[in-house]
Amino acid sequence: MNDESLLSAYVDDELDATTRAEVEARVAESDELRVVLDDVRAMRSVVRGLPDVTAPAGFWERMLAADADEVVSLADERRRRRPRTRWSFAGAAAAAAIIGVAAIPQQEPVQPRLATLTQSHSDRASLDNDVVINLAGVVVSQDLAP
Amino acid sequence: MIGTRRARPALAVVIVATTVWLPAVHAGAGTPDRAERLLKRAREVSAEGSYAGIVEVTWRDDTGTTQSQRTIAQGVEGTFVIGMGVQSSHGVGDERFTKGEGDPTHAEAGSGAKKAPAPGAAWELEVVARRRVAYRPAVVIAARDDDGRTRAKFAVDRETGQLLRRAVLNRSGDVVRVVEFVAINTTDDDSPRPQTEVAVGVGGVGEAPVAIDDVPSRFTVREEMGGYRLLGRYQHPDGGIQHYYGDGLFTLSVFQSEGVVAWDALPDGDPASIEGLRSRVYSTASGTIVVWGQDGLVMTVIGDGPRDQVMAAVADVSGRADEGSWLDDAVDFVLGPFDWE
Repeated sequence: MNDESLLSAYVDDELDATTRAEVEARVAESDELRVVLDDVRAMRSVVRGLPDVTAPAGFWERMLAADADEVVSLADERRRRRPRTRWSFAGAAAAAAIIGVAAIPQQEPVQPRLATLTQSHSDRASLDNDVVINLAGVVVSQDLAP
Repeated sequence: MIGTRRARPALAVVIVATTVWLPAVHAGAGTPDRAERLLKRAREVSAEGSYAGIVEVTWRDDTGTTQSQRTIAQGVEGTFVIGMGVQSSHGVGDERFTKGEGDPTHAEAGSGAKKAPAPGAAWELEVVARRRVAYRPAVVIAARDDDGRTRAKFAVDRETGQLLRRAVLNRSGDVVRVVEFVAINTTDDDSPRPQTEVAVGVGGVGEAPVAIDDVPSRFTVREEMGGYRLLGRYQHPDGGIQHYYGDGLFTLSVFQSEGVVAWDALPDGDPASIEGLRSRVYSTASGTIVVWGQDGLVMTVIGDGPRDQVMAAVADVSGRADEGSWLDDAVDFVLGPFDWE
């Protein structure tokens, strides 16, 4: 993962304890990483504060089909524009959030319903595999319920 | 006389050939072809046969404790019920309904599903023994991986073709999960069909997941992972996506939904790390479950095969397949005197 992805995963609490500690140590030592971390948090905060908007039909497909040459490296941009950083980035972030909020999924905490997913998997497996062997496991208590 | 002299070498050839061929035919009892035929037949019997029995599920949980529970199974020509009351699975033809610890679930065969690979596609199969299982005469089939290690054993009823037992082994050869009949009666097809408590559209059974051909690219995962082959993709009523795989003997699903993992709301499980990504692993009666978050998606993999093979699939899904040795740390955990031949 690059630094931005790592910090994004850090903010989303997706890192294991070891990696999290490593990230915190690096952030403590690097002014640049602290700035990036602040930016990521600011972006998350702006996005979370906005209402849900449904993306227009085909939005994702159009975005993903865009010419790769048009993709801009945020890291390069950040370095290039460093002198005007905070306000310009905050403004850009807010504008991007307002214009493109529909394209950025809300990062809501989701609890995978393990018992239900296990049942769904076993139902499917029993359609082309042994019925008893595939379904007996889900009808005994497994302590997977929330 | 000349003819007689010429006949002698020919007779010798026949004798030698017979001497070599007959043992070969006998040895053929243990060949992959026979094992594969037995397993294919067992699937048909399971779906369409008539039986009633007690099934025991034994597995090693996340704490290393061996758990064992029994339930009942009854089937008559494609209509079956496994379990009882609030924890039961029901099948009628190509439909399945399950009521368990989770919400009621529903599945239909659908036309979009690809055919599962043959049992021997990814495994070396061999008939290795004869023994009695659930008081029935059975043959035992071993499934070996590419390294020649036995990773599963199947006991098939020699008379009815019913699969009586499946044992999954870890890389060290220890049995870690068994589903088996401990008693079974083969019933007549004229027997009363089991009373399925749930019928289509009633009894709290929701919509079945819908087969889909394509998913947005951020939900895309590989069509082949190790020996697993993608057999179908399904959109669930809650918006989640299921990628369903099979390798001929075992199955695996990758579930994806948008968001970040609410770790505090999950059962404890076995904390693990997939090259820096926080994850949690569960060893259950149904198989291995792995949960992690990645790129704004909550990922849940459920597989009934050997744990290390499920974890290898997780490595493929997460893109961490080539990055490290975490697999070795994650796969073989607590072992104990839990064995079956």
